[in-house]
Amino acid sequence: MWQVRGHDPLLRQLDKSIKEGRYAHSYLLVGPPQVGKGTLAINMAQAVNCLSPEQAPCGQCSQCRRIASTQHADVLVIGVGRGEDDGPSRKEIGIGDVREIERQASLNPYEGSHRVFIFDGAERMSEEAANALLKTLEEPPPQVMIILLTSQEGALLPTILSRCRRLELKPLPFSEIAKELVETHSMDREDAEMLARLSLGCPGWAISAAGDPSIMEKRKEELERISELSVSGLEERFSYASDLGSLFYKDRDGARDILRLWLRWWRDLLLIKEGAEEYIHNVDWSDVLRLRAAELSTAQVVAFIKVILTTLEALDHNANARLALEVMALSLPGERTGG
Amino acid sequence: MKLSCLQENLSRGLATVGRAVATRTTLPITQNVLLSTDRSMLKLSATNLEIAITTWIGAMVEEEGSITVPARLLTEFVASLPSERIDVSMAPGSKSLSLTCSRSEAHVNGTDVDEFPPIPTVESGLAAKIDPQAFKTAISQVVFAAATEESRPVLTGVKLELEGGKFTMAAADGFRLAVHNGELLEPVGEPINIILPARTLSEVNRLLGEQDTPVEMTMIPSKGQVLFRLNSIEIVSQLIQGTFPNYSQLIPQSYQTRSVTDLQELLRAARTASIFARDGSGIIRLQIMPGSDDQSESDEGQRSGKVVISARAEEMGDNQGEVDTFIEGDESKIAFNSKYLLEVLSVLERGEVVLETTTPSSPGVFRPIRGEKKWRERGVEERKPDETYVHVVMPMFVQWS
Repeated sequence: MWQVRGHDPLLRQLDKSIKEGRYAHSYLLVGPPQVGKGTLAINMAQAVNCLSPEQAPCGQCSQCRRIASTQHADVLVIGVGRGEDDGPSRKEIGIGDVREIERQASLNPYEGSHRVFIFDGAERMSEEAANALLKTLEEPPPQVMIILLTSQEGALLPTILSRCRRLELKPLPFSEIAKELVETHSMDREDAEMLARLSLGCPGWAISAAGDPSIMEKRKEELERISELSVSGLEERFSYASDLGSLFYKDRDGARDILRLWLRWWRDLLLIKEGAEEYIHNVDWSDVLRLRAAELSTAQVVAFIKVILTTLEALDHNANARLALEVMALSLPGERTGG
Repeated sequence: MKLSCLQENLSRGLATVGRAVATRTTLPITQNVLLSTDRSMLKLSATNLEIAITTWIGAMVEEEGSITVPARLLTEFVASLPSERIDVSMAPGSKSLSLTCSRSEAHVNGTDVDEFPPIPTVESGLAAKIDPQAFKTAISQVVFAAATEESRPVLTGVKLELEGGKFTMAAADGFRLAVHNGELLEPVGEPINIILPARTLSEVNRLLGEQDTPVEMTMIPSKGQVLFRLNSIEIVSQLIQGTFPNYSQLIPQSYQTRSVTDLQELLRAARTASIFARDGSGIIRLQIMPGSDDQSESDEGQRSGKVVISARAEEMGDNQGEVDTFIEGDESKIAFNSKYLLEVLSVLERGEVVLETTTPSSPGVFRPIRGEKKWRERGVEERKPDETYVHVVMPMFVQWS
């Protein structure tokens, strides 16, 4: 049984090619974060190693179980922050990782029938690492499968893209995620629907938020600050920018997530302004959103959304995080006492 | 689990498997060692997913059981104990191993055996038997020539071919090639052709020690693993996939100059030259010169002469040494990297070395000499090389002034 939710046509195709032994040796899984790429990759590793090929991946045999519990010696996940010796500050998958994989790939599988290397966040590969991988990617030794996962396909080298079979995982419909949450995580309907809406079609996020209340707790805190900042003075805005700036240097993804939260807040404001309130994501904040929306003109909302997008882009291009965020905080429409 | 054993046995066993304990790893449990009772023995196993080593030590087993514990912690603790009896116990259901020796006691927290990668077993397959000391010689003559850089994984391995009653071991790194031909104790049923990681053979070499009972080697080519069975030690290694370059065509079939030299004299001169070579791109030059006068015993074109070994370091200075030799053919010049020259001279065992050269830009070939006599006492026919070993080194290009 494939554990990935949704994506049925894609799974049917994959299932068929694995059972018939006609699968590719290098795959590229494209899709937004938490949409199920990692789960699918693990499932694929199980499928090629499974001891009962008819039901592969059966999820029951020793191979499937060892892979699922990340104990399998032949299935390796390479990603940022997972490397040896490096702390969470690792920003890229380096050439050292690729060399190690080449070495391992040249050895026969240890306990399974295939070695599977999963690059989680393949866009984080340094250019030299990517180039070093090309040879193995194009013609891996027999019994080796390489799976690249990415949410930013455009950031990969064209030479990498052309060497992989591409599978795209699209966000799932809200209803499907809500159904999944109700059925397998026994949530009540209302909470499930809200999580499904917030998940942007990515079941991984919804499931982890369902299991870990601190995720929603953190979101609430961040949204409180976002909503307050619109009515606060220069001092708070500068201190917010500086906090977020220092977070960015410690945890880029965390800071980006907060900016995306900003983006969604302002998206909701725009929807309310234009009378399409039923589509907003932050349904639990609709009262506050309505209040804020009343204070702003559509033009102001659109302008600020552009500012957020520019800020995200500037950060991706290694702008000084604090300055970029200060510019954003200053462009925030609304009251600015003392300035 | 409850048993007792001697400190020195446990310590030795842990040291044996210790080399297979992973150091850098993506699977943290491979830093553990697996302890399990096996009839009246204690079995220790470790694996780094490339090599797995298992050894058995004598123990009084009262209760069976198994556990994995951090290898380094256990090894260091046991090594620090006095040479006395150690009582090892683990309560059923617990994951803490208790060790008591003399007046020391320790508790080591372990992890379930299920999480440990399975130690590969090779039940049956193609088997071969090799004399341990002959195998050690073969390993030490070949393994150093394997590549250490991983840009071509096959070259980090050693090619092992078994056919009939013979085995051939070969390694190459793009600049040199070492090939050893040896004899098996019993002919193999079908030919075997594998590439082993160089590290595996180094470990086998180390663990063989003074052993005099034959090494058993078993292979299951389909699983890509090979098992070496030594005295109470089993080493299972993954094989390297790929095609090893066809090395036989790299061995020059002819030569213009063949010199036979006393190995120790040549080695000493090469060591001296390497001191200067160190600061001069590592180049050692060899000039092989037939004697100038006709007093040379010119039977079948062979005559005495000398090898001039020199090295030069710009701005530092230079040196030059001479060694007597016996030459067949013309005068010749060749330059080698000092590391390559010293390494091959160091693994040749017998008293004389044969060097075959053609031009300064074609590879030099080193071979041991057949038989035990001193070269000065040899007749013409006895100055032939031994076919058991051949070492080809690419020359360095230098300006010969």
